[in-house]
Amino acid sequence: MSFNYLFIPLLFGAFLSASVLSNGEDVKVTRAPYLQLATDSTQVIVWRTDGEVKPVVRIGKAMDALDIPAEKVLVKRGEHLSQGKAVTIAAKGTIQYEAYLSGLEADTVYYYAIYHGEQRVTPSDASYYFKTHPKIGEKGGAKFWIVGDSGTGGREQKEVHEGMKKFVGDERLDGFIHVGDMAYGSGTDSEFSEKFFPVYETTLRNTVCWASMGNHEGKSSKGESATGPYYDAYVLPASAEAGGLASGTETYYSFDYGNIHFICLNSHDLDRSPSGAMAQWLKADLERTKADWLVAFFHHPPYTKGSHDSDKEKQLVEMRENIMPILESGGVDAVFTGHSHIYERSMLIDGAYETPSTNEGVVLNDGDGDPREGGDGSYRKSAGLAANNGTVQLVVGHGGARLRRKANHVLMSQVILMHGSVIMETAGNKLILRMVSSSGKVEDYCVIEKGGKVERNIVANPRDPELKLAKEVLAETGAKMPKNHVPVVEKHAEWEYLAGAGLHAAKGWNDLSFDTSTWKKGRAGFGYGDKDDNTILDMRNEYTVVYTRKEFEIDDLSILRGVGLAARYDDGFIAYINGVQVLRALVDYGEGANARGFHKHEAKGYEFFSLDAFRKHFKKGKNVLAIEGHNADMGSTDFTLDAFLTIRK
Amino acid sequence: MFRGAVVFFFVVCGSLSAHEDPDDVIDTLTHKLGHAEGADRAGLYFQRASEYRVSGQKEEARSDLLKYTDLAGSDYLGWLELSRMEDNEVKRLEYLARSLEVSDSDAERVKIYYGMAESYYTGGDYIRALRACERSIELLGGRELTALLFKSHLLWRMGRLEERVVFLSKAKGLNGSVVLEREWVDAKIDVGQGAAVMRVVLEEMEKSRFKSSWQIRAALCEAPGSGEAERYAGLAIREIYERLHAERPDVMLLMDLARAYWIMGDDVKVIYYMKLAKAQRYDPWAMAELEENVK
Repeated sequence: MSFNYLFIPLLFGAFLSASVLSNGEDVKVTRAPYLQLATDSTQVIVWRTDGEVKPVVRIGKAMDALDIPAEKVLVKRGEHLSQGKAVTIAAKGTIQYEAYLSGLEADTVYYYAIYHGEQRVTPSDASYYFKTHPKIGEKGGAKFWIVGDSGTGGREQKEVHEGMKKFVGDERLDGFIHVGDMAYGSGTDSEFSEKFFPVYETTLRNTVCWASMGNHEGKSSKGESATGPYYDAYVLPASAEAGGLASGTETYYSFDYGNIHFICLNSHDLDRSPSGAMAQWLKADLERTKADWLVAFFHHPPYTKGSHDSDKEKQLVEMRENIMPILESGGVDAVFTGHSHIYERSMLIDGAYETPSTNEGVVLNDGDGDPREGGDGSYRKSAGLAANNGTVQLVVGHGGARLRRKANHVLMSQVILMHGSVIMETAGNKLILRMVSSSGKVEDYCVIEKGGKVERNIVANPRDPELKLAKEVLAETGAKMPKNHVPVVEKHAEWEYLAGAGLHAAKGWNDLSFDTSTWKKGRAGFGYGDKDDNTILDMRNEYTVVYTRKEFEIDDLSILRGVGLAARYDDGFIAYINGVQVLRALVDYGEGANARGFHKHEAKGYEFFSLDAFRKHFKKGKNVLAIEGHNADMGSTDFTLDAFLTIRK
Repeated sequence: MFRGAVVFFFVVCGSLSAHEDPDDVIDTLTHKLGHAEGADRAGLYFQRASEYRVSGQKEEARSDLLKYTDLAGSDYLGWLELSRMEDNEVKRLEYLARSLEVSDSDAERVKIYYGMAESYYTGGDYIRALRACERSIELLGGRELTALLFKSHLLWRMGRLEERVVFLSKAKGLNGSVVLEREWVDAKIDVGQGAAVMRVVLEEMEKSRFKSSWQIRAALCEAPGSGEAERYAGLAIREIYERLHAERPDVMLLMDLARAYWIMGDDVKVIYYMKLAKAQRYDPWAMAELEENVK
């Protein structure tokens, strides 16, 4: 909304339209209609063309009766996208139309159609609708879809979208929140047009997307001036149009949906200090809201050990140290972030601002938050928005980009390396959070339940996070080798291995009891090319997988604190401890001959993979570490698999 | 201070894939630098500097920016970023001057003048700071909140309180942020026109869930030392204690608490809570007014 418009409103019978320049016959729609800024009485619809048309929007309460009186529809036209010295600009001739509909009834479904002159552009289809917000404060419940780090334009992004649709079925979403990185790599206008709008078109046409700027959008858009392709694409509430207090900018804002107050912050390129303008606005906004639920979203996570480390990176540290205290003293319930390509969901926490993060004295409930049978029960909070009563943090950077985990963050209840998104629902005194996978399956479920007065109760020794390794979709790379680790299985030790054209290990090959008498022996690493292997394999143009095993003994299981696998690998591998899969590096799914979804990776140095979450699979006495190494391409010039097991000194 | 409000803007990162850990990106860039030549090297140094900065490695970032400015001295951004890495104000101004020299648009100059304003402020040259800040505001059409707030602070610092009220009154029309509205109310109170804004203060208090910041303003609108002033301040203190995390307090609430205790005349507590705020690295400029009051 950062560009100029020509305003030529004209009355046409029952409708209002704008600018009569062409009947639109030869003009193409370059961005399909999508919903923006909504309130309990207004709605914005945006679309783009590659030339001038006579834009008309017709709306009505029934699909075949688009008969809303004229004064409720206004169309604006924008000709100059990405003003100033932007890195990228919209294609020549692009025109963005924004229809500002007002005077609507609250909590009501309207159908709409876009016309260029007399020519209907949108089909007569029940999916072209919008539902106005309920009145602020109403407790009717809501369902929001929350996604992050998705804008690759790739298969995973599309599957996550399909997974959500499968889960939601015929029910309506009340909103779509994107926590940033929606158009890789630089958030240019053309990247938005290729990797965001077409992928989500069927949802965007009937669900408002409330966005937060990610670092990739930040390469071509600027928060301080709110200009660039990101700000062209979105119409966001700078003037408290949808509730909350006016921020004076689209780069951070708030809005209400019924009894939920949403706050969007810019964690990327604005001052994140507690005396900065954004923090001052946040404090004021929190002082004012009287909602029952408070949800914040921004890009950089205060707590993560996924593809990023919240103990090390500036924006992440500052959001935790400076912004989280303001949010928690304001009574925030849930915080959604992305940036880190993983799903991490915290326990109920409060006051965890230290660097590095610790779980001492900050966990109010270390259960899984799941009220269903077998679960630990809901997270309980006092009624209303009580200060410092506990927050659930959700890192939802698993919307499409390549997944990665460095370690398990100590404050997390669930760590899931799988593509997906979150459905957040409110119902009565409950806020329900579901992580939905690409297949539409619920992989994490937790509930915050409010009522009465719940005293703060610090958990003395919080439990470790639970890591979910989904066999279907899982691919990660390692972290830097820690300096304080020593080998349990020596570097370049002798292993047993099976390798050859058409050779695949039999079932149970990774169990301790498996008979390996026909296997060969050789020193790690295994491979060819690059002159960095000890056991040379004849893989090139012959086969892509090698199976390796190493038996080892552990006398005292207590030494396993800080256990991990160090690996140099090209391109990927799957590791097992005593037959249980514990790691999957850059092999998306399947095993052995059925492994698929490879990614290219060069063996530069040893990468470290924590196995702390799998300590229970080690035994006193004899154990076996089994690893299958995969080459992404049979003709590749090199392959390496070189691993050893380590523990913290 | 207001430093860091402006973007560390990446213009040459297209070659890197969907976001990775800064350490990995640094490794990749270092590897690429081993093979790159000429202009490519400049871009890679710039990218690596940004990653160093994100991961808190200031010296490495500075070193790469120096190499960048050696290779691409005509890019204003290199000098501007270098100025942000510099603690020495003389050098900082030198870098900003170089940046200004090679800048070729108002959009670029906005950030440079703002950087100069910050630097002059730190050096105590408020007149020059104000001039640079005004230039920055002018170039942006007066829409950028951080610069508007900085000018307000500079006017307060220079004792030009009436001018500050007039300026904020206009600024509210340029940027609709509630932060400016509050700053204007505070400015009116500072010039002794508390009675004129008391209605606004009471309305805001009524609408708010947490009322303490408005109760403090209401107390300041009343005659100093009066019973009403102390009553409002007392209410604010009670509410703040209910919200304040005992071990890890929100620094903005600590500052409100210090202000409320100043109204109550309890300087010991004012100093105590300001110390706690300072320990949490609260910006000194934001404490300046209260510090002056307790002197």
